[in-house]
Amino acid sequence: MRNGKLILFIAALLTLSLIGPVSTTMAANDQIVIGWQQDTITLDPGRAYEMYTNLIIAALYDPLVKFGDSIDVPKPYLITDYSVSDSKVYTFNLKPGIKFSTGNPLTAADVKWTFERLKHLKSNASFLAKNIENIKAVDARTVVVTLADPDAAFLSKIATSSFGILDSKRVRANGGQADTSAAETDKAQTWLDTNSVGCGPYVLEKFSRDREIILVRNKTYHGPKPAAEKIVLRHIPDLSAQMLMVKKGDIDIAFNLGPEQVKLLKKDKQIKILPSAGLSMTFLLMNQNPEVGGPFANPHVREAVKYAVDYKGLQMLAGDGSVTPLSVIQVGFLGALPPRDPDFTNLDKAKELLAKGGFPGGFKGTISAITYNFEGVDWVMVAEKIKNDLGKIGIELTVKPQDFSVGLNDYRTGKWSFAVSGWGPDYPDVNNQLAFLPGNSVGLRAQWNADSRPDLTALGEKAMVETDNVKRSAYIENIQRLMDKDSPFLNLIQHPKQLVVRSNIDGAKWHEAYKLKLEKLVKK
Amino acid sequence: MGLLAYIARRLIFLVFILLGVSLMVFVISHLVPGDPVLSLLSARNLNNPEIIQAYRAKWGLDKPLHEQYLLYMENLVHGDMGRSIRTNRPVLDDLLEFFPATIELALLSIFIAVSAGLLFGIISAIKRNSATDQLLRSISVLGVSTPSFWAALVFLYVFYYQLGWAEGPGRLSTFIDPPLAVTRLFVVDALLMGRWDIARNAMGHLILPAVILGAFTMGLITRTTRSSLLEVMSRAYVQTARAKGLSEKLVILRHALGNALIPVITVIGLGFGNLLGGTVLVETIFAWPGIGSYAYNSATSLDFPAIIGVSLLIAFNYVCINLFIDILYGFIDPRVRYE
Repeated sequence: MRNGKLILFIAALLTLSLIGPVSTTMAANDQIVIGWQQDTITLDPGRAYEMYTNLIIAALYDPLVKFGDSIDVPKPYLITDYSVSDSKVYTFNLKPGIKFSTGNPLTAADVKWTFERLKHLKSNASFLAKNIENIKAVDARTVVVTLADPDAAFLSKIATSSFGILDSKRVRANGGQADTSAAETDKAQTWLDTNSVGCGPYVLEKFSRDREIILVRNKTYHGPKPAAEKIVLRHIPDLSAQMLMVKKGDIDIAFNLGPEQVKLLKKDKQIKILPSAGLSMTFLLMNQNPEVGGPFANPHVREAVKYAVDYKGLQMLAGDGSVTPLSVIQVGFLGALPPRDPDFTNLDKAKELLAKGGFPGGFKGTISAITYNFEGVDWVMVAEKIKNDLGKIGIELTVKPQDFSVGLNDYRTGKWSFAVSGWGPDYPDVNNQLAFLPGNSVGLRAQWNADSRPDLTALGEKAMVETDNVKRSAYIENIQRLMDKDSPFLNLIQHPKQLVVRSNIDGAKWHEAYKLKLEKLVKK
Repeated sequence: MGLLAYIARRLIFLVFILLGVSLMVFVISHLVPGDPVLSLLSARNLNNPEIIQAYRAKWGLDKPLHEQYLLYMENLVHGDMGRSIRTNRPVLDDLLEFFPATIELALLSIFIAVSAGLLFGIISAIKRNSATDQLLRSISVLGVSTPSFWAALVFLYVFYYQLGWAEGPGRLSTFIDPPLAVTRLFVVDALLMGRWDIARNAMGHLILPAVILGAFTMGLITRTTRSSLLEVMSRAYVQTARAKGLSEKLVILRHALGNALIPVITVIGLGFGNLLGGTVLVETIFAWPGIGSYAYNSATSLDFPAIIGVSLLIAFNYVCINLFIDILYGFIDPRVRYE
């Protein structure tokens, strides 16, 4: 009998939940809900290194300098000014009167501690601080940073959310360490996952893994008061679900929609689609080592591939606003040359080049692709497209889809012969792209060693340390021309970024460094 | 005494099963041609041998495989399931966070599956070869064969977006705070707090994924109940009951159904075990923070402690469910002895 009552009770509950339309709690005008694919592992600025999480960290922790709307040169933010001497010594003067959300004043000691902690944590973000040789807090408001080598991208690096300044007193009290043993002794991550101690426009109210992150306005913020009192980021991993929720008004912003969903939303009057140029790119890798790359190690074959690819078709796949950069430097960066003409494809020339390379009838090969949807584009689908394109000149490819960790292993150990891969910059500076040069991290994935192209290696070294942007730009242009002639990388798509927002949301704009400046969002 | 000894023996056996599972998962996950260091460190850090070495040392990946395993088991005996390489949190904390969401979903799914499955199965058997039987059998085939991710998208579109009958993805709507954690099952905790509004909201979120996940098990239960009941109903004792003049309802409910339930209970147990393992696709579409997504994310980043943690949990579930079912057999059929 008891069982019968229990069953009746559950059945009643089930029925009640289905009676009539459900009442969804709508967000008030000073509350904004964002649907996104939460990739957050931690909210510790020194450790976080995920693609989208820095949109939260940037809202919690202000860095010394910050990018404006563009990513050309960062502007003073927590500082009044700075000076550079000997290309290696940077002196920063802190603005007076800035307080952390904890109420403690911002001092030079906090800056020194934050920079040292980032360097010594040996985390994924630590490479950004690797070149810092010495930091001195000269007085409460003056910090002097000395670099080991000149670095044209230093200011861009410290403008990233990894350099967001922490209230050192509070983090130390909760297990934070910044000395050389920090990689082993720092225990602040767990605490920083539930507490924020920065001087950014928002403070962390709640971090619920794979569910939601809630930020509320920082009452001690030194800048203009953000319009939204509360920002909720809801984890909606499925893009179709994200699309339905923004259409229905349950979320105000859909953060991750790809070209497929955007197409379906174009006619909806309640929705605004805000296209913007992104910096992520999908490229082809052709291994330089003949034992691994086979025919793709042959420069004529690589050039034939360049002429055989249907760039127009790929751009359609990636959606409105996508382009194909001439080389590995994305459009928008300092010194970037105009993109490749989408009608560049020339199959006759490709066949001619293939014959010149010793493969008049083509050959058989494999194209690897990780089963991953990058910026709304499936890499395996791109591989199928390349298979189709190259099939027209006699290169018969078999698509080899790979699990993420297995594919990544092959990529990072230089085992890929011919593959589709992707890249998003670690920090918004063109020097970041020099990783593709011979002997550098990405170059080595294609077994492109430093001594194989001394001309490019030398140019890269010059660009890396040149602080005069006119000269740096000239080096970058030259690198692109040389790499367009021959390199193991063929850039296919520079992905556009399309934010989808409800029509009553203003101030939403994709930002390459901080993804979305939350403090600018306004709900009408 | 027989039953208690049987349970004790099975629980001792459970330890060996978990040991075997942990060893097997450990070996298999290390045989995968991948390296967690490559998955979890940034490309830049992979150029720094010092960081790679420090990382391996931190997570014990620099030790020989057998040492890693023994160290893991030693910690496990002390109640420490290790720290997830990906989330940098104790695996036990992660499991405690994600598993209740899966339990809540699995409980409602199995409730729906059992209620509908038994009902459909009994009706089908009674009205054998009729139009109703054909219809119910078609529904059960549909339940078993419809891809869950497809059904999830269609249901979300129809019942959430178009009709507004159910809540959208997630466990609760935005701005509704979870109830105080007692069982961590939101509906139960909300009712314990007396917060009917939260319970209703949580139920509104649960219903669609539960129906979709329950449909598969429902199909199996319907088919098993039908065939088992038909078989039992041709037995002599059922004929005798009928000959005594009992109504068909009494014959089925009192004499046939109990005996027909043994294979059905096995199917229910397996279905429930399956649901407790989490389902990645449905969890993804409904933004359900369950163990399936956690397992998937752990597997793709070769997060060994988390992979083993999830595997042990799933193995533990299956063993316990099987034990429970074996005990249940004895209550349903007194001829079953625990020797």
